[in-house]
Amino acid sequence: MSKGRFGIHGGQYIPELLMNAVIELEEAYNHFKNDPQFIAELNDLLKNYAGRPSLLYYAEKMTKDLKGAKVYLKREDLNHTGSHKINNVLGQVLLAKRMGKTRVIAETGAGQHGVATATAAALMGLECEIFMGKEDTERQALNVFRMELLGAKVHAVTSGTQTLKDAVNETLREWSRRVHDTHYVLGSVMGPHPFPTIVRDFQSIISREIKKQIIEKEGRLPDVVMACVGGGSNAIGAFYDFIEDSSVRLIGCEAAGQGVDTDKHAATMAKGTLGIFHGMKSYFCRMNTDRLHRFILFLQVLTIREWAPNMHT
Amino acid sequence: MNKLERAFGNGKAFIPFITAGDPSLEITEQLVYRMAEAGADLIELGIPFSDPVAEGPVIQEADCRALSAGTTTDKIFDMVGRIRKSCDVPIAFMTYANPIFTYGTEKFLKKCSETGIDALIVPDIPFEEKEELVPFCKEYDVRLISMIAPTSQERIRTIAKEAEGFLYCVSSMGVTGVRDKIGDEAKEMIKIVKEVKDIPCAIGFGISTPEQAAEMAGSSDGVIVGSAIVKIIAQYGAECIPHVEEYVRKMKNAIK
Repeated sequence: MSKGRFGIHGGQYIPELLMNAVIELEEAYNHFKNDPQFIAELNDLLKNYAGRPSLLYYAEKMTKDLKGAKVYLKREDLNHTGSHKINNVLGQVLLAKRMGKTRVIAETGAGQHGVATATAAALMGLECEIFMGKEDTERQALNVFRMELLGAKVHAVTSGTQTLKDAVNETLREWSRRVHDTHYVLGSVMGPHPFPTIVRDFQSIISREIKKQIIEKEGRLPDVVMACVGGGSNAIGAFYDFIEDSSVRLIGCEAAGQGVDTDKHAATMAKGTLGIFHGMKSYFCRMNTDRLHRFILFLQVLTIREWAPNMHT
Repeated sequence: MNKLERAFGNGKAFIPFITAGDPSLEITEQLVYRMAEAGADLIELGIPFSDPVAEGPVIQEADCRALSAGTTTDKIFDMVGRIRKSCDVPIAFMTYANPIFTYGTEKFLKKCSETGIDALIVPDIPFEEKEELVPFCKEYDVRLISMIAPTSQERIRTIAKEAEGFLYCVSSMGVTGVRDKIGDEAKEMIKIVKEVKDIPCAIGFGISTPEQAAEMAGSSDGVIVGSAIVKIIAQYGAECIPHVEEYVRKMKNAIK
């Protein structure tokens, strides 16, 4: 069995041309994640640049309105660039710089990961190109403007369905053209090993902070941690530090779209089937065996469920 | 009986690639006969996939056309079955991990064996993941073709040692597609391979002209040409057959 497996999920299903790049990345990551200077620099960026720790806010009105649990919101939206994406991006771009790369590329859907990557690249002086489905560039024109303002070149991807999955394909293709000077900043818990592990580790700061903050406020662990699940980075970030706490229910919410009984949804956990795509084996939604019409996964959340059977999806 | 070894027994091998079902399976079937007559030593048939990450725009578009035309893996198997009644040119399937996996890996390889497919090329199954396919390939006598690339470096020896059939040498960085210039990287890679194992090496990615083919054949055992042929098919559509046949003849003559 190859490396980077979470149960049967994961692996390294990528062209030979990219294999040495992911091996090099794994070696660099294993080295730098234990390097005190790297850790200190990343922590400094997270605190003084991204604005961490993000607040844990007691949503009093929502609590009263729902008449059930006390609701706290982990305010990842208050980070610099407006989402949790910056946590992983600062880690990966710093890593890329330490590896001697001079250029970063990334896929983006709505644009949050692209904006975060463009921001970190501008901060650390790396060239940056973002791949975004043409349809998404039109829907999210403001984010395209932000990325360009930050000096990134944004490519509107016109292949396939012109959305996120095609942006990932195009970023992988671009990486195979220029692996020597380019790092692919992957934004979701997906792709070939070691990406899912790297993204998980850099996002896990969310759950470490939640744990500390909730204990300060409530003197106990939460009953439930709930997160929306798209590519899985926000969910694994919020869940990771609670995996061993069996009293904490971890609930992931998937987009039902027009309904889980239609073919227009993104409920990978509920409805997906096992496939091999974007460098890994996992669950995917698809129209038939040859066409993957929507990718969404959360590789490690699946593993979490195996460990914590009380997780609801 | 696997026919792959024969592909390298007639001088330097010319290996054309076409996407099955582009523009239709009827045309694909005719193309196989005519390319075989024109001197193709091994034919690579692409099973179309919606997300072919190793392909440039030309083959991506061919995949889209084939899928839009209703091409399915089962229909391709049926076509190969028909071809095998009158034509024994070695044939390799080129596709991605997902279409095989979702079809059912064992069922897929069994069908390959029954219909007479000799080899399988799967760009997103690298050395590390080949156990996904190897046991079934062995059981059903289908050669799993390994690939090496300019970035492979010290991996070349590891891959070559376990390679079978032939080694697919990726000429240069990037995805499939016509290139103006192709460097010497493949030549260097092949030297290393031959130190480790006596196995035919074919160079692919970027080759389109007879001059390039002759040059690449000079340092290898064969050349693989895809995008240049798929372009002819895209240009002439249902009328492409004589044009492809002429091109294949010209290319085979250039490397003889």
